[in-house]
Formats: sequence, C-alpha cells, structure tokens
Amino acid sequence: MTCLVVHAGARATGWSAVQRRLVAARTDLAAVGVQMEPDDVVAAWHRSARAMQTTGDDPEPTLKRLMNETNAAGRDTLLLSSPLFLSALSSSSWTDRLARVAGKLGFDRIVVVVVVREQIGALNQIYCERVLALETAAPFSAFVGQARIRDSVDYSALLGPALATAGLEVVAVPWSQLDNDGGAQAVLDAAGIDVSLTVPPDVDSAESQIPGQERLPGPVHVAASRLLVKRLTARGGHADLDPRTLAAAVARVRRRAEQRDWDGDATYWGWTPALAEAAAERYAASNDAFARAVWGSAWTEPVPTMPFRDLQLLDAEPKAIADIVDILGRVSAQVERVPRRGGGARPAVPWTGLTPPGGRRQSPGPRRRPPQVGAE
Amino acid sequence: MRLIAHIGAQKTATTYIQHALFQNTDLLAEHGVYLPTSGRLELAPRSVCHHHLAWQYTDPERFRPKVGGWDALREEVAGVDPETVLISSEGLGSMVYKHDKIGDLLRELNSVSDDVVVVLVVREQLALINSSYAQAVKMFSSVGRFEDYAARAIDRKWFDFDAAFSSWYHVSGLRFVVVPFSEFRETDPLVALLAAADVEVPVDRLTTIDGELNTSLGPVGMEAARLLGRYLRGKHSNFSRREFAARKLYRVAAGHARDAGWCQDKFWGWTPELAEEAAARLKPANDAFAQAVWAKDWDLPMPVDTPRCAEVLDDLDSATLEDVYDFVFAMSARFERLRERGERE
Repeated sequence: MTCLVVHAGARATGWSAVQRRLVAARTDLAAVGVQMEPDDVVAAWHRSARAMQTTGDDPEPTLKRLMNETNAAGRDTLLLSSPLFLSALSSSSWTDRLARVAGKLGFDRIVVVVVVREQIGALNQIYCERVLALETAAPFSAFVGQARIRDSVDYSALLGPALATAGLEVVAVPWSQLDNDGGAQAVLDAAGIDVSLTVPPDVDSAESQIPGQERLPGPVHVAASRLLVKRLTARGGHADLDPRTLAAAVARVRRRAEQRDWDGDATYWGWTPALAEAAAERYAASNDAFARAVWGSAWTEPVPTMPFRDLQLLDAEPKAIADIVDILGRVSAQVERVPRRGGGARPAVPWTGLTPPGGRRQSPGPRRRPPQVGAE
Repeated sequence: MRLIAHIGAQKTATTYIQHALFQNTDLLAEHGVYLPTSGRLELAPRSVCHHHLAWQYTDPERFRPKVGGWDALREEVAGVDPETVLISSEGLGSMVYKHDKIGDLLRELNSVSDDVVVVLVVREQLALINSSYAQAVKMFSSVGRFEDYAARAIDRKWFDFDAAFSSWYHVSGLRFVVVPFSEFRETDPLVALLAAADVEVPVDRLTTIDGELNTSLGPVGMEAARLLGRYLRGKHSNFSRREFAARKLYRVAAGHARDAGWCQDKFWGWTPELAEEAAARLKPANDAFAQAVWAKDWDLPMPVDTPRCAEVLDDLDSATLEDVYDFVFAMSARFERLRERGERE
C-alpha cells in the first residue's frame, strides 16, 4: 500500500518546528518507509508544494517525480510538508485534481494533516510575526479585521473543499495537544505513520519548540517594529529591499530588544476583551462545523485570556524610547547603504527639512543623518 | 500707595499682558502706575513678569537674589513712592494653587502696601487643564498622557478655585477681584485687567500686541514634544526640565514646531465623556467660588461637547513620523550644544 501524506500547517501552529524535527528524524522515518524531500532546507520543501500548484495548477508532474523517487528508494509513504498546501486545499478544483492524480499514480491513501489552533492566540501570534518581520505597521485591531487575515484561520472555509473531496482523508491535530518536542510526533501519529521519534542529541530543544508556546515578543518590541516599518516606508519603501538586508534589520531590532530588556517579562497581547469576545463569537459556528466534520464532536480548543498588552511608543519607558528612536535611525541608515533590487539605489526622500503644511519640504539641502548616538 | 497684584492664573493671556505692560510702561507711568524692576524674569527682558517674587518661595533653585525678591521690591517702591504699583506673575497664583503658600503671599503683599488689589483671571477648568497640559508638554515637564494629567489635576485640586482662594474672600486691606477669562477674549486683555483693577488709562493710547506670543502646539506638535521629552529623559539620565539647556530648548523647539505647521490646529485632549465627568466633579467647588466672588452660581460654560483633537504618535502617517524623528534628532543635537554652552558659561 502506498500512502501520500500532505502536512499543510496551518498558520501559527509551528510548521517550522515540525519540519525541523522531521529533518532531524530522517533516519527513523526512512526506516519505517517514509520518503521526504531529500533537501533539508525549508525552501526546498516549499518548492515542491509550489510546483504542484503552479505547473498549470496540475500536481501531476511533480507528484509523479516524487512518486518515482519514493518507489526507487523502496519506500511506501511519501510525506510532503509545507504550509503552502493550505491555500491550494481551499480550492475544490485543486483538491479534486490532487485526488484524481494521486489515485492515477497509484497512491492508495491520501491523508491531509493540519494542526488547528484556536484563532485568538493564533491571530495574536501571526500579528507578532508579521510585525517583527517588518511586513506590517497596521494596528492590531485593523490587522485582524482584514478579511484575508480573518479567513486564513477559518478552518471550515479553508478545508471545506478538502473535506468534501472523495478520496482525501483530512486529519486535524489540536494545537493544544502538541507535545513540547516540536509537534512532529503528533503529526506523524495523526497521519498513521507508526514511528517513535527519538530526540537526537544535536536538536536544540529550544529551537524545536512550537511557536506560540515560546515567549511572544513584548509590546515595546512590537511597537518599535511597527515604527520601523513606517520609517522604511517613508524612506522609499522596503518591498524592493534585499531580503538579507531586511533580515539583518529585523535581527538588529530583536537583538537590541533583548540586550536592553525593553519589555521585561511582558508579552504582547493585542486583544482587548471586547475584541476577543467578538472574534471568538465570529469563529464559533465555523469551528464547530469543522470539529464535527473531522472529530465528530464539538470544538473544544480553549481560548486563552490574557491582559491587553499593546502599547504606543510614548507609553514605553524613556530609556526604551531613546533606544528605539536611535535604532530606527541606525537601521534605516544601514538599509539605505545597501543598493536596492532593480537598481533603485536610494530612497527619494531626503533626510532634512520638516514638511510644511503645503506639503513641499523646506530647503532640502544636503542629506542629513541623525546624530550618531552611543555605541550599540 | 496701592499695590495691584495680577496673579494669573496660568493660561489666561498672562504672557500677552506682561508683554503689553512692557510696551505701555511710559503711558502707565504717566497715569501713576509704576512697574517695578525687582523680581522680573531676566530671560524675558521685553516683558513685565515678576516670577522671582514667586520663586523666592516656591522654587529657590530658580530664584536669583541678584534679580531681587520681596525685600528689593519694598526698597524700590519706597524709593519711588508711586500712586500705584503693579506686579504681574502667574507664579504668584501658583503659590496659592500648588504650593500652599497663601500665608506667605498675603504677608508679603501687605508688607508692600496696606491697600492691595489682587486680580485673578479665571478660566473654566476644562480649557485650563487642556492648556496647562499643552504648556507642560511644551516645556518638557509632562511627558505622560493627557488623561492621566487631567485625572491628577482634578484629584489634587490643582484648579479648584474655592479650595485655593476661600481664605481670600474676606481679608481686610485686600480686595480680591476675579475676572472671567471670557472678558479677556471680548476686549484687549490689558484693557480688561486695568479696568478690573480700576486703573484709568486712555484705552486708545494703549499699544496692543499683534501675533501669538506663546505658541500652542497642535496635535502633531504635542506628540513630537512628548517624544522629545521622553527621548531626552531616556538619553540623558540626568536630564532636568529646569536646567538651562532644557529651558532654552523648549523655546527653540516651539519655534520649529510652528515652522513645521504643527501649531495650526488646536490640541484638545478631552473626550466628551471625560469632560462631562470632570465638569460634574468640579461643579460644587465652582459654584461655591462663584457665589463668594460674584454672588451667583458658576456660569462660565464648560465645553464638554468639544470633540477630542489629538494624535497618537504611532498612528501618524509615515511622512509625518519622519518629520517628527527629524525634529527629535535636530532638537537633541541642539540640546547637547546648549548644554555644552551652559557648562562653558
């Protein structure tokens, strides 16, 4: 019997941790007949998922190649894992094609494994990730109010097509039941892969922790990152920045937040009780429908309650404010020094001059940089 | 000799009056009104503001004996022997409001003359608190939120006129004249002040002052000033709003804010709900005060329905935020230069 397992995430449920753990357990998995993407790097795992969606939206060529590799290795289970599958699974035409092609290629069983998490904590986590990655400067309430963000954790809508596709077996693992060892064991158990993962000595347990169970960033760190996004936007935008430059900026802010202990023990929580209640209510019916379809019972994932902890920059301690303003200057200056992709070397906005009410800056003059302040 | 003490309160056109007094020194002198030089603020040489008289009691660090306090004033007045002496400082009002120095002030006033007229201009407290907060932010003495400042002001009775002045209602040898600020808006503030103190001067010969003397920051300017205040505190652990560099900087920063167009809109920190609650809390004391000084209930309208007009730094658009950062960096550099200059001097 040949089995295709598609592990699709979902959002803010620790896919990266699972992937790292699967890579670390490659030998154990091979021993029980599981074939995975041979390359360890995350990009390679996504590549196959992307190829199955982009080659004319036809999964056949990629799946055929992977099936051949599985057969050549003498294994009977092909395990694909990428959160990119999630959006494909929300399209009934794609799930239909997947089921048909997999059947045609000789897969006897197709299992879709997702990890589902209550949406309140998930959205808080997603927001933190997006802000810290300098992808958004939106306030929390505006961010979670966006339809595409809201819908990205609506499991009933997302996985409805997969659930309705004959030949696809959808298995959902509650996020609250993941173990602290990266969640991979739970995913494999759900997929029916009979293996007991041992922890190899080279796996850092902190690294394999499930996101969301790790410490969230603090509210000052989040506020600083939001302001950095705005700063980069004002100075020519950061969409065309080299990803390494952006990653360096993210790391620099994170390092400073840790070094200077901007937040103490406080972790970010963007939900006010009223906003959380309204959101939980909105997802209730959808969650129940999903839970009954996959578990045959009502949705019971507990909704976390935390004190609201979102602040404005001016609510931070003066020392943190001085730090943040200085690092915003440093990071944007650092970003400016790096040539942009597509030849745009520098943002058009000059440093100097305050914008008068009419809009045009007064005497732009030579470029001015913020005064250099203290060593980092 | 009659002594007129204009004691504010703060944020009731005192800067205008003090500049106008300076401009009209000769005319006032012609009509027997003498403006003493003792106790005047040396940092504002074109203004008649006797802050050192207040600071002698409330802020010994800022008081400069060389400029002169009450002793110097008595000596100066004795040497001139004018018909009327006029002193002006909102700091004198603050002696009563915030420092509980009413006894000291009364004693000093009576030591100058046994015919004292104290003129206090009162403004309804919602605008007064709003304006005081704006001034405190501009001068880096407050960097917190308006709501917290307003709550503190009401809890601590900073603007409870009855609590502050009830002991002045009936003092022999002292006439306590209270003028609603609205009268200052209907006519020239100096004219209104002189009328309240029964000083007869030909109004058509008074020099008035055009333009705003004490720039009020708008919503963006307020956030920029708060950020600057917090930034300086964070960057310089020994920062003090009273230090020379800070006192110089606030004027420079206000000028920059004005040039940036941040003073065109008017900051208003109250939400209607908060304003309503505050007005209700203030009413009993206001009625008691108004009954004592005007023999009627308080009738200065409280603008409880005015919508809030404030910004949140983090919500500013990117371009404006850039301007704010530029402002902070430029003012921080200026502050450091001012400090160096202060140390050299």
